[in-house]
Amino acid sequence: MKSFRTLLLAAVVGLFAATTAWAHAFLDHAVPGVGATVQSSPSELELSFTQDLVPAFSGASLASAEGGAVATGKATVNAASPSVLHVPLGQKLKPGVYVVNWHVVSVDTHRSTGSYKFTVAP
Amino acid sequence: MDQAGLFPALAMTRWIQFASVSIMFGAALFWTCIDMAAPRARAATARLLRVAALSAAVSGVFWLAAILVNMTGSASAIFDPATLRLFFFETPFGAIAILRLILFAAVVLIAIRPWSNRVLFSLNLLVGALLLISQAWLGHAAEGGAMTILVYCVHVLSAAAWVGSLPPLVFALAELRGLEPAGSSKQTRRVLSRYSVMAMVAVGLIVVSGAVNAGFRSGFSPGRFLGTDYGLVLLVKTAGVIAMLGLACFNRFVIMPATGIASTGDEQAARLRISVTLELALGVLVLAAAALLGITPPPG
Repeated sequence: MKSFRTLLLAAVVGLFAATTAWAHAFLDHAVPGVGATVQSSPSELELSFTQDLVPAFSGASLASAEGGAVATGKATVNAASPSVLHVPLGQKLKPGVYVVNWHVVSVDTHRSTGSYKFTVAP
Repeated sequence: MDQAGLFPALAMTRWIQFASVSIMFGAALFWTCIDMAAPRARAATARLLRVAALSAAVSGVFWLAAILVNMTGSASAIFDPATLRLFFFETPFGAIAILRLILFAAVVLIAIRPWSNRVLFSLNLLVGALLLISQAWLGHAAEGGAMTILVYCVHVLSAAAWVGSLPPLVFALAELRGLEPAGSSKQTRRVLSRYSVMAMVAVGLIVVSGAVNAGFRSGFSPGRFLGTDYGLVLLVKTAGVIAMLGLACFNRFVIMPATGIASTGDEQAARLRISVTLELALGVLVLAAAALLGITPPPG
């Protein structure tokens, strides 16, 4: 009986440990694109996800390749396209490599995070 | 707090919530559908309902707190008024969260007030149903439209009717054991006949709604589940349901007819109680898989 209980407990713990990646809105594509090189500074970042987003808990930040923060405007989600996050830049980006760190909450309450790079050509 | 660290807490609170609310709804439904003079079984069910109601309230509040912590990545968000305002008033699920908090307060009152059994069962049936239905807006079903929500509601209500009605069935069978043999076997067959109608309706709805739900998640391409965490958990859940179905068929078509045979009636009744208890244990494990499934990414 004791071994049965131990087995049962192990099965439940194993089941609960079976999944670790449980974010539900994934980045589908972005403008500028993931890993892309653009010839001039974009006016905004546009991140399209696989699910509709909750604007109040979704956002993105921009940093240089060295890690220095780059100021941006507040991220917004249009009602007409609720799966797309818009991040206005408000300034021209100098040539270089940039890192976008995003965090979003989808309408099923789940949070996901990620990052990608793009390059502004000299 | 990182997501990996929060995952077990979120899964556990969902599991306890699913089990508690399933008992609230299913056990109350059992006594609504089955008319039987069994005062001790009714009293035992009433005690179980009070415990389940309190457990539902506590686990439900913890579940909402875990959702908020997961969304913000910070445990302090639970106590931050600005974040709470955003959560309750600036999200698509904020209104549902408020409704559920009101229901949890009602559930505590249901658990602690000295209601008659009839009122207690009716209140548990109603509030249990509302809690089950409102879950739809806190998980994958929220991604879809009205049809997705409807199918989800049919699935959770029928699952709760099946799993939650097993404890009162065990209580009723135990009480019948005390009757003289002829009366016991007759009553046992009568209870099982009525229960099996209720269970067969529930199982039919579970299978159909579960298949449609899986179709929604995979775009009706089952092959997309292969090699995914979601597919693995769904496989475990399906295996559990099939095992439960096997036991239910064994109870209905093998043991139930045998309880009428005078020479083996008592022995078969004892076997039936063990079998139903095992079915209940499997049901609780299936609810664990369901708790995991709701926080596991479906195929992309």
